[in-house]
Amino acid sequence: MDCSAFYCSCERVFDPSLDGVPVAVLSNNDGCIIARSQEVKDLGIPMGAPFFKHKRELAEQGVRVFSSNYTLYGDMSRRVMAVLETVTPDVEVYSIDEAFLSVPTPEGSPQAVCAEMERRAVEIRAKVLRWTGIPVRVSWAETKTLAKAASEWAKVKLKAGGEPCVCLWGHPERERWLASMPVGDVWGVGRRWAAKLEALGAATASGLAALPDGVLRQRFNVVLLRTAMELRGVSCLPLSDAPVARQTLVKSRSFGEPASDLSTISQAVATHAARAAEKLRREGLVAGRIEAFVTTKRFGAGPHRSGCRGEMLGEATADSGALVAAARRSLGRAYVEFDARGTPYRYRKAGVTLLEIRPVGTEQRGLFAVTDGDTASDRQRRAALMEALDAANRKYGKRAVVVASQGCPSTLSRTRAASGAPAWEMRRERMSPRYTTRWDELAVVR
Amino acid sequence: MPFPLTTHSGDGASSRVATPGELVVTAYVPASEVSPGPPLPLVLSRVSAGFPSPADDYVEGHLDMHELTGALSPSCYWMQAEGESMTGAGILSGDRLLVDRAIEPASGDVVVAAIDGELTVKRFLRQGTRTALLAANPNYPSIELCEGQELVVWGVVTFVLHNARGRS
Repeated sequence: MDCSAFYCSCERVFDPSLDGVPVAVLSNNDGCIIARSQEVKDLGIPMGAPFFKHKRELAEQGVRVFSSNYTLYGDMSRRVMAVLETVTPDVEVYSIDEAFLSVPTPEGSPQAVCAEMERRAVEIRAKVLRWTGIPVRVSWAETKTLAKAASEWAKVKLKAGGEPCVCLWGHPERERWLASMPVGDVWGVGRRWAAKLEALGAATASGLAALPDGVLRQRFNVVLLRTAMELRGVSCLPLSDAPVARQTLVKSRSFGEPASDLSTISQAVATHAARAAEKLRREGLVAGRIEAFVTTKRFGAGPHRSGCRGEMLGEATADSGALVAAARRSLGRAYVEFDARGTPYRYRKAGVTLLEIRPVGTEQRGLFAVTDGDTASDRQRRAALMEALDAANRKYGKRAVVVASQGCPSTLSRTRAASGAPAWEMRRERMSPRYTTRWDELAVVR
Repeated sequence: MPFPLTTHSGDGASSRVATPGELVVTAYVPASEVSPGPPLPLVLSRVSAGFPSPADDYVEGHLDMHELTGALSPSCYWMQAEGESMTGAGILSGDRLLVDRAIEPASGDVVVAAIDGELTVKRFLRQGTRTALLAANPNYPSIELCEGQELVVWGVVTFVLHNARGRS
């Protein structure tokens, strides 16, 4: 299941004035265009285009532009997935707008099964649309990679005015479709590999499936071999309930306005570290290394610089205090105030990267207690403290309880008049209400 | 004769014997596992001389608003009413409405509908070929739909939450 232009669809659910009107959604800090309704795609405005370059054109074409409202998108995604779970218990949420479903295949001839599955897909699409207002594509096949190929076909069907639902299994035109599908559109084939495959004469999905295993193994790797196997109908990527544990985690954001002083940047970095720690705890992980980075613009006036420093944590941890302290120490080494001529750097972005991430309980313990607070009872008390911190922030909002170095609303420098947000918080000038998660931002009906 | 009781803590259950007069917690949920669902009943009763409280066998839990309204369904959304057009249907300005998208609207239902790019709350009427959205207040106009005009019903209003002490 794929949602079509998911972020734009979310904006449309609660604002009927957006029906049939071109809609675009911007990335964090209103930088680039990250979601386009079909009308905007038809205008030829590319994905990821910088907003300022197209601002005028978008206004002339009557495009309604929104800052990204991830609170809303996340909640709508949760609802879409919950509807799928009313259809089958076997749902693997793959991303905010994609999921894999598994259902038992019905009896009958291939053609009959194909027709029956397409009928079911149309039903599922109708149910999700009715319950959430989000239009989705539903496509079936015997492997994940083929199901994604079917989803590409469903896109084409939708453009032609049909239902975006395809069952590739048993479809009489299956081979024709795979032979016409550019290899770069195959799930898991990136641009570099696509070029290399085309040079080998495998320019389509069928071409990739037909390459001998030896060639795939020698010239590429086992990942692409798996993709080819999947295209041949051999399932190598079973439905997993648990997604692969992450190896790295990055939390960063552009500042609303440039910052030069260490204290402002420090607060931002501390906040990113605290939020990353929260995320680790939520996923039952710990990190062994943390890095802090800070960068100016890469082009334009003023001196340019980007600094990144990190440190190994004595023991892998997900403790907010430990990660924030390490992030601030790293930032202290990554940050430089002036260039050689004494001009202050105007930093635009800062963040943290967590590395060496592994599940909690597998970390290497120190042989000696390096610091106080290393006895078993101290550990338990720290863990309980983190639990309480997470519970409070879940209940009372993201910044209810913070590590002091994150800064608190009363001591922030240059707060934004509009939101009381700190100066480094991102620009979100075109944000729609958080219709589904805030009592004071509900949709109004007259 | 002490009465054996089980205490649960985050690291699994351990059995031990409670001494008379001691407070015993029979359910403990770590903060990380608290879900927005209904809270677990927490039975705190003094173990008096080895006899449990006779009320312990009758604990049924709470009256759960979500169970009553179905508000946690992925098809249910909260909205806020503004204006006086539905006062006759018990919807006052500022009331919160629970709107269910999964329900097929029947004639007589109060619905949220999209009209001219805006969401409006009205009573849905269908008689033969006539389709209308009726206001529940004589001072407000109703909306008659002409033949062939399509009405987009956003969802059906299932509950109205009214703050009896006014809005603060």
